[in-house]
Amino acid sequence: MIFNSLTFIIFLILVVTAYWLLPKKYKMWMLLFASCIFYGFWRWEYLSVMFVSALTDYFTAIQIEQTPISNIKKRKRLLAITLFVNLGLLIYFKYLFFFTENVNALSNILGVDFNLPLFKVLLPFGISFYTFETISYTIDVYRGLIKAERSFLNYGLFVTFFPKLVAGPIQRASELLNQLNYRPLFQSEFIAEGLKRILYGLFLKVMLADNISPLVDEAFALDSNTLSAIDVWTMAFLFGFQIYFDFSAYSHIAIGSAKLMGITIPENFNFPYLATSFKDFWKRWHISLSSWIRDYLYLPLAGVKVTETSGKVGIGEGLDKPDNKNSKTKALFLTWAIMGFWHGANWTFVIWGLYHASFIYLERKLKPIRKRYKIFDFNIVTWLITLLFAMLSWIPFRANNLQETFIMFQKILNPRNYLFYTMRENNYLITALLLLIMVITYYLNTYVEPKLNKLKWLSFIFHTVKYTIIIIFVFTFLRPISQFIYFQF
Amino acid sequence: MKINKRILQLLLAFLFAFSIIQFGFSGNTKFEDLALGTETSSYFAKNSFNEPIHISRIDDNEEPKFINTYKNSGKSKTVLFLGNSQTHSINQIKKDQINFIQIIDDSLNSSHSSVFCQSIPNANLQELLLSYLYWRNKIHIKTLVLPLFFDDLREDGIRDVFYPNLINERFLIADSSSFIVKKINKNLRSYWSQAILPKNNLELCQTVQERVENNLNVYFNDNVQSWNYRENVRGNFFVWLYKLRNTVFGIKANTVREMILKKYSDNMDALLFLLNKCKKEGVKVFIYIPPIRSDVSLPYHLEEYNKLKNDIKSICINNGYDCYFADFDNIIPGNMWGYKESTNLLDKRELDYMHFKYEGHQILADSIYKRLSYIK
Repeated sequence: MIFNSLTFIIFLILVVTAYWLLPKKYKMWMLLFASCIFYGFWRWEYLSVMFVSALTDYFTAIQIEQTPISNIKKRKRLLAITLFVNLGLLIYFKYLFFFTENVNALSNILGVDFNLPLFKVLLPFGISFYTFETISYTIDVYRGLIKAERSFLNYGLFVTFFPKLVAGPIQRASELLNQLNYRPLFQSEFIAEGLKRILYGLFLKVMLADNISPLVDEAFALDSNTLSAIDVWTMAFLFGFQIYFDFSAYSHIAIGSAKLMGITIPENFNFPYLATSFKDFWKRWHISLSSWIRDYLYLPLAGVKVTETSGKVGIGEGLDKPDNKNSKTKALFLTWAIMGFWHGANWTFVIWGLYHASFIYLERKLKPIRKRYKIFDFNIVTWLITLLFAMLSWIPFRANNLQETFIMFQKILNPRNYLFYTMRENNYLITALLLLIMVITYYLNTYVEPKLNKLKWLSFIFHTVKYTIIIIFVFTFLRPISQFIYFQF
Repeated sequence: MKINKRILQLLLAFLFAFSIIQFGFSGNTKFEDLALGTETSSYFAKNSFNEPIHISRIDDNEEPKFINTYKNSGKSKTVLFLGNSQTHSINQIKKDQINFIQIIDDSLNSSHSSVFCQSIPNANLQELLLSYLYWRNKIHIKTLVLPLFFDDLREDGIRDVFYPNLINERFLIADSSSFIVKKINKNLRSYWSQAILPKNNLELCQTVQERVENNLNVYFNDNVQSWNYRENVRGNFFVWLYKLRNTVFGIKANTVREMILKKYSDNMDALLFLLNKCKKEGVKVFIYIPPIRSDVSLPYHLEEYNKLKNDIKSICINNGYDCYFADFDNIIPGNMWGYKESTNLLDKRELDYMHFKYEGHQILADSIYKRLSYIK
């Protein structure tokens, strides 16, 4: 089901009403059933894929817990089953076509008469998210950080809980299972907070992301050879804003929908474009994924033992942990290449990942220089540098292929390409405006609103007006024009 | 019972929001009229039986009546006009005044020809190509008349709002080898997910979500008044944004617009595709450079404007198309043009370069009619 649709709004009203009216013992069954309906509105048949992943981890986790720690072999074998099934599903649905295509291309280059059949299968919505959740659950049990869940109802709900099912935030079992076991009583605050988050999310999606989307599509459909450097920067910024609004909108709606039922889902974004370094960026962008990557990929690869599990803070926090410089660098580049590949079966995503790894690596290396020159003490300087290069990283992420990516990167390196522009003036204007609005919103949120909230009546009027405007826009622009970008991952 | 302050805030916000939509946007302003303002009015031509021969959108409301008129006409020769808002707008309109389409239809009444027209505000050539390819399946076209505006060649893409039936029918252009056709088809496909399909087309929905969403939209359209005002609110909002931009940057009607090369070339590709189709199908084409105010300086770079004229003339003459060209850019004197509602938030009105008064429609009708008589 798509969040930005009438169908979802009506579905959510029915589910939330039923949730608070039903006796405690039926609530969870109803939620599980509703989550299946939510998913089945896209394709019923793909529910089975999700349940294969869920059931595997449910049983293996219990088995792992029941196996004595001294029996390392069996525990590892059980863990391997989990990884084999979940990663197998991911590879089959997401990467098989890419692998066969690349093998065929390589054999053609080598002049070998060998062609594998191409497997093009429909990618099940949310597979990258729920497989990561189930894997992390089993690994946490393996590490002894959490207990295996015996109630299949609770466990099933942890995997299928509809607000975060299709595009995250990627939830840790320790965070959600606890809440499912100890459900709070009804509070009107849940409804108020939930509705506000949903309204914010819908506003970001239907008003901003969906209206930027045609500009981005149009720009990336242009022949990259004809673009100017100004165009490439504009396209990078425009897509950067689109994906941020789109994905943070999804997270807002997911968090809000769960909140309506008194369940807290961790935050996924924190003004990422105001980061003052790439490390900082990864504490603010897609926090639940980058925390996952930190705990289950980066730290193990760097040889660090993980002793706690949390979907908060992001990978930026883990970057300083390993002491061994060599393993640190290898882990960094490998982690980001995999992170890129997670986003999609295309070399452009790998380039995107390595681009980020390179900047983090550079930041590490240039740390002494950064400390030596006072100019870097000013946040505005580091913010501007980070913003420019973080935005530029969206070029490989959005470009249609590697060739286009490199052409666009070349464009920005040639000074002559800064002397003309080819797109409609509105595109440049909208980009500048969005940047300005983002900075103003951050300023208002961080500095003005807390002060305003102390003035009761003024704050009441201000927020009422703000929500009136948001509701008008959401009502007017609500159309399921496009899916959320992260659905395709 | 103590009401949560934040809930109260939201309830009030809902109440205010729906009151604003209900009472502030309830006027039945047509989308086509939103950008025209108050000084210019849209007028869609009718034939002598008062049947519609001129539409803007191809939707369930307009298309059946239009096709019905065609079937009733019984004329063997059909002249199809495609155009932009100049075609359906009359500046300072007075009672009983009609546009040049209706004047030409009246003039052709005694012959075996009938006139049909679709005009879309700021229509670019990709849209006009799409319109032609759609209508040729429904109407037997003998002659196609096409004005080519410099401004419209700065536009790009297909706007779904003017083609709901094409989107509902999943209409695509058959010859998908050309770049411009691929682009148009891609554009059309992008609207499929949001289309409200008629009941007999529901099988085109691939998922349960699409079916349910479609039915809900139909229900809301039929039963919730404010749901129907949404388009009006959206239109008003974009007009306001447009005016705000113009105010901030001091853009006025007479500000010089530049040619956008990529869009220009895409539109020219569309024109060439259209002319090739017409050639294959034996349809004569009459292309004219439309009238523009000549009593004040042009809002274009002269060399770019002349390039457009030369390009079109050369395409028409040199490629073996059955194509006729005329330049009507200064046939309408300055006093037959008027003002229009300002395109910024500060001024009340400004010069209108695009839409002329009824007298201008008479002159244009006369000029086109003479050429049509020659083309036969």
